Amino acid sequence: MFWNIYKKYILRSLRSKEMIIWTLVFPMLLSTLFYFTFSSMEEGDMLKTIQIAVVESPEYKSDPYIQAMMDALSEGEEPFLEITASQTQEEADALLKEDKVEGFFTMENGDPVLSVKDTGIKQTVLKNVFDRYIQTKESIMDMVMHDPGAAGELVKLGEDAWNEADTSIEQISFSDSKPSETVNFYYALLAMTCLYGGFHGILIIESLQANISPQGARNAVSPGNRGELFCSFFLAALTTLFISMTLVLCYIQFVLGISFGGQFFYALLTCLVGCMVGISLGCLISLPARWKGNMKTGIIVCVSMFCCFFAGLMVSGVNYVVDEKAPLLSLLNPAARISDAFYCLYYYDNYTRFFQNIGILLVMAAVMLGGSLVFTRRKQYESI
Amino acid sequence: MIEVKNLVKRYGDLVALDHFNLDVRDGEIFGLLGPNGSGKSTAINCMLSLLKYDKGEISLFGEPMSPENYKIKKKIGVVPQNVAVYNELTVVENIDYFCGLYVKDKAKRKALIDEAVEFVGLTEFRKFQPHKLSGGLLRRLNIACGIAHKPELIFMDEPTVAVDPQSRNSILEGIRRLNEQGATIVYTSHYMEEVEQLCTRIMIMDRGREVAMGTKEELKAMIRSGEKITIEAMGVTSEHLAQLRGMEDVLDAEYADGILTVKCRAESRGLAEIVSYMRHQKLVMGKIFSEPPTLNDVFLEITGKELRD
Repeated sequence: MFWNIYKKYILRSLRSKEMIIWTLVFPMLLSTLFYFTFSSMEEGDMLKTIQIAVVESPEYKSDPYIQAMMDALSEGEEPFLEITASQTQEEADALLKEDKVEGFFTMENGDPVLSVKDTGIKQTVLKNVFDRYIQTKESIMDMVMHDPGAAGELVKLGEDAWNEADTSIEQISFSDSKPSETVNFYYALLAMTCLYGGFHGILIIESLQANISPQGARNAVSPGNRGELFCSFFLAALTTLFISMTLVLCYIQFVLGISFGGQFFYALLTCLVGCMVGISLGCLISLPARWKGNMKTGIIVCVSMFCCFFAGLMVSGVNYVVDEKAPLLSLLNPAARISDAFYCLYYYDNYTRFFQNIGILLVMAAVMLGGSLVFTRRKQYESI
Repeated sequence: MIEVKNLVKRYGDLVALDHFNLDVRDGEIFGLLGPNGSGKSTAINCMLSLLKYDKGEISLFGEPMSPENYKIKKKIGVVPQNVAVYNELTVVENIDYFCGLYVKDKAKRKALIDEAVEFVGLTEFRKFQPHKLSGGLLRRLNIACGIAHKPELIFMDEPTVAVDPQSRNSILEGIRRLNEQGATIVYTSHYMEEVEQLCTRIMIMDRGREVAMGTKEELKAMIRSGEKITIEAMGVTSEHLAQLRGMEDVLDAEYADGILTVKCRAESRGLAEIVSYMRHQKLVMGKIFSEPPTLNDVFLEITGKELRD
C-alpha cells in the first residue's frame, strides 16, 4: 500500500502546475533576478583605475603640488588614476566626448577645475579628490599666511588630512571566505522555497481529512491505517520537494556560481531538513477545516514571506538586527535558521553553529509533525 | 447485513437523525429516499463511522462498526455524493490508487482495474485526466473508484446528481449488474424514479426519521391514492368539478388550461366511471392519460409536501 500511495502522490505533485511553479520555477527566476541585480551592484563596488586627462597648461606645469598629487595617484601596478596629457582643452574635451576618459581638468586661478560628461561613481570619486585637494591646499595656505613658523607642522597636518581620506575599517575574516551580504539573499530565497513546501502540507491534509475534501472522506473509509497513510504522503511530499530544492540549489551553485563554502552535501542536508520544516508547517496550517483551500494557500505565502523578511530576503541586514534585538524571534524563525545554516557553511570553518541550526529545525519539524499527526488521527468527525 | 438501532445525531440544536432504525438484508438494493436535508447522507456517514453520533448502535456484517474495524472496511465500497478523485491522475491511476487501499497484490489489482474500467464504460478514456471528462463520465469514474475492489456492501450516495439522462441510465444499469454479481447496495437519492426502478426495498425519510418503508408496491398500498387521470377536455365548469368530487372513487378533481386532473382511490374503477360521466355530460374530450401512483404521491400523502420541496 505504501508504494502505491507514495508513487501516486509523486505523480500528483509532478503534474501540479502550481507546485512546480512555486517550488521550482519561481525560486529559479528570482535567483536569476538576484544574480543580475547583485552582479551590477558588485561591479559598482569594485572601483577600477579611472582614466583622466590633464590639460598641460603653463599654469599646471608651474604648480608642483598638483603635479605631485597626480604623480602619487598614478603610481603602482593598479593606480588610482591613469593620466592622459593633453596640450589643449579642446583636445581633452575630444577625449571626453569619445569616452576615452571619465573627465579632465584644467588649472584656473591655481585650482584644478574638473569637467565630466556623465554622472556616476567614478565621476563622484574624481570630484571628491579635487575638492579635498582644494580644501587642504586652502587650509595650509591660510595658516602659512597667518603663522609662517608653523609651516612644518602644517605640512604634516596636510599629509594627515590626506591620509585620513584613505582610512578604512579592515574586515577580518573567520575563514577563507570573504564576508558577503549578497549570498544571504540567495540563502533566504532557498529558505523561502523550503517553506513553500507548505503547499504539500495542504495536499497531505486534504487527502487525509474527511471533513476537508471528498478524497479525504474516501481515504478515511478505506481500511488504510491513518498513520501509514500520513507517513506515505509525507515521505512522498518530502521526496518531491527535496528534488525541487536540489535542482534549485544546483542552479544557484553551478549556474549562477553562488558559493556554499564548497559544502554541497551539507547544503543538501540543510535543504532536506528545511523541506521537512516547510511540509510540517503546511500540515499544521491546513488542519482547521473552516479555512478553505485558497485561504490556506494565502496563509502559507504570508507566513513564508514574514519569516523570510526577517531572514533578510527583502532587506539586507534585517536578519542581523533581529538576531540582536529579538533573539527569540530569530531562533524560532525557520527561514532565519535555514539561511543561517547555509551562511555557516559558507563562512565558518567549523560546523558547530551549522549543526545547532539543523538541530533547531529538526525539533521544529518534529513538533509540528507530531501535532499534525495527533489531529489527523482523529477517526470521527462532528460534521462533514 | 446492516442493522441500525435508535440512531440519534444532532448538529447543535438540529436533530439530523431522530431515533433512526434500519435493517438491510443481504443481496438487496436498499433505497433511502427523501428530500435534501432529510438525513440520508448523515445516516450513511454514521454507518461508515465518519461521523460521531449521539446515541444508537450500528452493526455491519453482524459486527459493531467502528473506525478501527478494518476487517469490515475491507468489504465496503463507497461512492460519495461529491466526485472524489484526484485531478492530476488519469482514470486508470485514480482507480489504481483507491483500489490499492484495499488490494495490495499488484497483479490482482491490475485485473480488477481493467474490469472496473470496462464495467463503467471508460475503456476509451483510460489515460484521460478527470478534468477532460464530461460530468457523466466523471460520475462513472467516481463509481469505478468505489467498486473496483469488488466490495460486498456498497454505499452509493446520490451517484447520479447532475448527470445527463443517457449517463444516468448507464449508471443505473451498472448498479443493477453489481447487485446481480452479489453486492448489497444502499442507494440514496431524491430522484424517486431511480429508486423506484432500482430498489428492492425503499425507506422514505424526512427530517431524520423513517416516514415509510417497504417494497414500492407496499409503499403505494399504504396510501389512499390510486391512479391519476388526466384528460384534455373543454367546457368543464365548477359544477362538473363538484359532481366529479362527489363520486365515490374520486379523491380530488381540478381543471386548468383545458386539462382535467382527477385523483382516484386505490383499486377503484375510476377511469371508466369518469369517462362515462364526461360522455353523459357531452363534454368534448381529447387525449386521456392514466398514471399509477408514484412514490412522490406516497411522500405527499404522508408528509403533506413534495419530495423535491
